[in-house]
Amino acid sequence: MKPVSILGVAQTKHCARRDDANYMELAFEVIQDLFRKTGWSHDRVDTIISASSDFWDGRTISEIAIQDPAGAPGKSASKVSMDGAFALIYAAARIASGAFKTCLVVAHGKASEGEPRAIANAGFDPLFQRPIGIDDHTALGLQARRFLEKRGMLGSVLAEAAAQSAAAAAKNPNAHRRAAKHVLAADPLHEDEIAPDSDGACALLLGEGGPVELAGFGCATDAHQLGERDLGDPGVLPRASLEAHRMAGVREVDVAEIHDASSAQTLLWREGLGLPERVALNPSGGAMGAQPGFATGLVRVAEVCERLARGEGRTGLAHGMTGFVGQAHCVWILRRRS
Amino acid sequence: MNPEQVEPVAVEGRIRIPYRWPAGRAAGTFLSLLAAEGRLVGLRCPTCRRVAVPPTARCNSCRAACEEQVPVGPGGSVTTWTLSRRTSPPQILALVRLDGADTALLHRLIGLKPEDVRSGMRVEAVFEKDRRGSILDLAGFRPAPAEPPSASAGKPAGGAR
Amino acid sequence: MNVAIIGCGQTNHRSRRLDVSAPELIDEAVQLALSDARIGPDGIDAIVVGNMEHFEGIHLSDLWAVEGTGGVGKPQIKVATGGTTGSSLAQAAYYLVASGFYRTVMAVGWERLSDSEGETTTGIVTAFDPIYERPTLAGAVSGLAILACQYQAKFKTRAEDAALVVVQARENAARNPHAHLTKPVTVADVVKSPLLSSPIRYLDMCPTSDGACAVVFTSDPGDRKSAWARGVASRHNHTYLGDVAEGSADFKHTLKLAAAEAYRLAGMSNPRKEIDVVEMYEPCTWAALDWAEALGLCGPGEAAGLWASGATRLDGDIPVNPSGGVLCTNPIGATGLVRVAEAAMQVRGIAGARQVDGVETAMATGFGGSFWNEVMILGAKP
Repeated sequence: MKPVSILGVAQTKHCARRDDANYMELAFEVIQDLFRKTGWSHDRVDTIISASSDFWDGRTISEIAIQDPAGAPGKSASKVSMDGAFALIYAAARIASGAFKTCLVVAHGKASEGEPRAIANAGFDPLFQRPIGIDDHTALGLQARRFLEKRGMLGSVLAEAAAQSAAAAAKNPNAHRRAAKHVLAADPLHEDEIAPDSDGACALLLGEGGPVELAGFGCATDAHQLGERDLGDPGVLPRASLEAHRMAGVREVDVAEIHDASSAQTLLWREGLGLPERVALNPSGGAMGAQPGFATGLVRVAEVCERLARGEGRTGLAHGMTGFVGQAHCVWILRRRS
Repeated sequence: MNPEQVEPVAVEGRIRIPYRWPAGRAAGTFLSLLAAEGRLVGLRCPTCRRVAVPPTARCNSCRAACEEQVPVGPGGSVTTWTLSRRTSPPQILALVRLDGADTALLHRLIGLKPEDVRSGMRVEAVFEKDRRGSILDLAGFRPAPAEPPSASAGKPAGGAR
Repeated sequence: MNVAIIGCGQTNHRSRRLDVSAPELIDEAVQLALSDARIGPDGIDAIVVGNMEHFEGIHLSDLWAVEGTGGVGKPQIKVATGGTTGSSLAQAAYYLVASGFYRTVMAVGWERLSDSEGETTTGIVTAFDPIYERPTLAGAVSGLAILACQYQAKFKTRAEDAALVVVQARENAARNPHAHLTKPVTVADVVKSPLLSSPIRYLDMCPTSDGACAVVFTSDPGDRKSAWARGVASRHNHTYLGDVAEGSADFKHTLKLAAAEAYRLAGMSNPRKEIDVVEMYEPCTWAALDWAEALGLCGPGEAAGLWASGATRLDGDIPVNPSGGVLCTNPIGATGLVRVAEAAMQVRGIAGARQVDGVETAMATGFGGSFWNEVMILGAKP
């Protein structure tokens, strides 16, 4: 692919509730921060790709609110209604096609404006799964149990993985959850073993000549019905990961940031990505420290990019997902330019 | 008041839209037979022979059109389960692989306590008396006497790939 | 990389399709597109998919839709941008192929507006700002009524002039088996139909439909009949309706900008002469008049005369919407993609009874959101 690199990244401080800003203002805040950090302004941006959810925003065509903060008037823009990691594929394609030189990518999530479990329930098919009363958390519970039982593991491994994430998140000024109650939430998962609902946003500038380049990506979708998949397996994640590594020509990365919606996923996705023990996983605390909706995967990309730019490793992996218990995965490989 | 120090203001709203979802050919047949006769059927893929419950008109693995109806259940095995604490009392949600099916159905377990649930346990379908063409015409699954219906009981689906 | 359209499939769009589920409706269009493209499901490297979630009340609708798109095991990306959803899908598929990321990409759009029958407007109203705009607006019609008032005031256009647009559209739709509304209407029928939001009457406005459309884009068409993308552009707009037509801009501002960019990319200087057929996204009759001018098909205030002269008819020198257009068929998430599919079929010479003779170049437009616009120009050669 024509080289596409990251010219700058920004993310808000994520938190459980931002009553002082609506989602349009969150997008404004993170884009202004991106421009402050990079010295850029709207007039140097050729095109814009945003990621948002009409259900989470309680607004159909939710990106109408992003037009002004993103400086879209008079420009070409579009919206991917998935996690920002998937939006990044479209953004990179716009540059790699040669039609645009720079692209602003912005994603946000504002869980506090709606009812996350009710919205998640509406994401299951309305004929078979939705009427049963399932939501994202109970789906995570089904997955976690199958994962433990398939491997003959005890529930304590979930607590240990959650504790590791919490310790990492405690060192991340942008993460907000450092501890939660160890009470059962969606058996066998406890509250502190499920990623929080967060308010936050993330923005990236893509173009040519930045310190970190997008070296490859892979993405794949699984079947929708939970009972069509073996939830104890990483599903289509290995396929996405292999494709990303193949495109990048990279066999092993130095750092990885993944979207883990539960501590069972921290372990299961690590396995699906084939990451050896020596690879630092989620030094930011991952999604277990902050999970701002469709910004979650883009934050992973931003975290890896910043680490590589600081010289902490040469290659990195960032993972995003959309849907429940990993129905759609997207894997990016980033490389520091030498 | 000092405009520099106003408290955050929230405007409340609710999107109220009624919806009606046609079940279509595959699910429509499933729900009609469930309502009229209290029986469960899957659809078999003519190519890979996989029996899907819930049925899909086209196989997710090989994209062949599926038309062959196969009776499944009413017995089955739990492949995994959790407890939904949003309702009172909490409900046991489970994936149940019905006898004769290659995929599992999401539903509720009834008539037992959470501490008595085990993955792999045998269950059987309980039908509502008054049925109207919904997956909730199936009240749920209750424990059934242990019996070995087939070698694959209790194993989850292998995934559609 | 040059990108060609090699396959198009669409359902027969209707007011309600109660016989199929959403995935089954999608499957109909997908199978037709695959068969038109002469490839199997394995020939599709990635899928872009979209509809508008609030119209069916299904969040993450793309992830249930995999049962119809054939997306299991494949990359599938959801793009959803309101009325432009379909054209945005076509543009996303174009860029994903043009970038070299994928060789062959299928765009799939659908909507089942009967799922929220009678409440489509409620779904659209939520597009507007919940604090300032939502409490006072009444869906898609009111914004277009402001456009129509502005146009009418500027050019003293009569209701009968606008009505002619839908009269011609219905004549064309009668030749299109996929069209939803095919019953002929007269100018008198239109101006007597119930007033929705002055000056827009019931028959001036597009319907709500159930339907799906799939289009296959590739960089490697082989010997297949191809329609090549020669100009792809979109231009976006402000967040608030009050800013959309501010200063020197009007409601067609972004269409003018997008068309100018598409013409530049396609190397065109005289679109009226160089374009053989237009598939325009016209949500109402008045918009068709205004936007024909934005596209440069005629001068300001001349659109009524353009329609009256017969130039926009199937046998005219600049046929507009041989398919019957949005005024006859509107499954929202598919509507913009249907424009691209119809334009591609015209270039590929397979449009049947609605085929315009000797099409070398066709244009498709898409309209949506806060009056933003997208344009795709297709040609018989790369």
